[in-house]
Amino acid sequence: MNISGQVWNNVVQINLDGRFDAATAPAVEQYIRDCIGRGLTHVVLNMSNVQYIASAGLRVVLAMTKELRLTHKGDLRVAALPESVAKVFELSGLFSVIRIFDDVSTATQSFFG
Amino acid sequence: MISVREVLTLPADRRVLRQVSHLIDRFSRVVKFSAIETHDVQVAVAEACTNAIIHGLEENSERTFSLEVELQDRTLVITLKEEGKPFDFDAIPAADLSSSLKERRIGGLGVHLIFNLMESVEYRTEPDGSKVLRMTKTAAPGD
Repeated sequence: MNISGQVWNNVVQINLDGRFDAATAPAVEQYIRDCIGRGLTHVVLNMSNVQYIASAGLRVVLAMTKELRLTHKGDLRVAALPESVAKVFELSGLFSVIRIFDDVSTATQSFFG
Repeated sequence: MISVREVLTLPADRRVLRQVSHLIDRFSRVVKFSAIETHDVQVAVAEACTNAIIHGLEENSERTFSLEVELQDRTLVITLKEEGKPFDFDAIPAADLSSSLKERRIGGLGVHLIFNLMESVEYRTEPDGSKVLRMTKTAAPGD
């Protein structure tokens, strides 16, 4: 899993590239926690290059959204889900609690709406 | 009927998930699974392996489990066997799929995904205490 980030107008876009599973989820969580530590509480998770997501990845998305929204008045918004990954989000009931966007640009703009 | 079979003996180390993913990818190409079907199997097998590694074998990388992947015509049959701590699928609480974010419990999703992404899932404990999880998925008919 490669993780990279870019900040634009206080919104951090985090790009994930690879498998999002029990082996890689701790690194993603740590990256998001580091962002929160730097005061970046508006997060867009770009999932366009995620090859697969397992429950460990879903747990990080849920836990970080919960923490950002309920503790820091921020949010984590997911963008550009591949169809196969979207199926797992849907099966896991995440569509009702996570804000999901078709592309990164729309997800980023949503913080200024 | 075409039958291809491969057995891996893997250490209880999360890093093997990459190897497992590649193995499933290879078999999926042979059976001509769609991208979504391949992803379904990769996720289900990753969940099963993660349970064995973390809960059954407590991430002791000196211990191992076996993963057998067999192609029976258009059906992929995956059998995971490990001899770690007892585990009862039936005792896992149902995944919480509908509470609000604040109330949402984080857990139980792995087993939920295994049962919903594969066509059949069977679980048994052998007389010697080893646990066997068998999962299958059949490719949709091609053209």
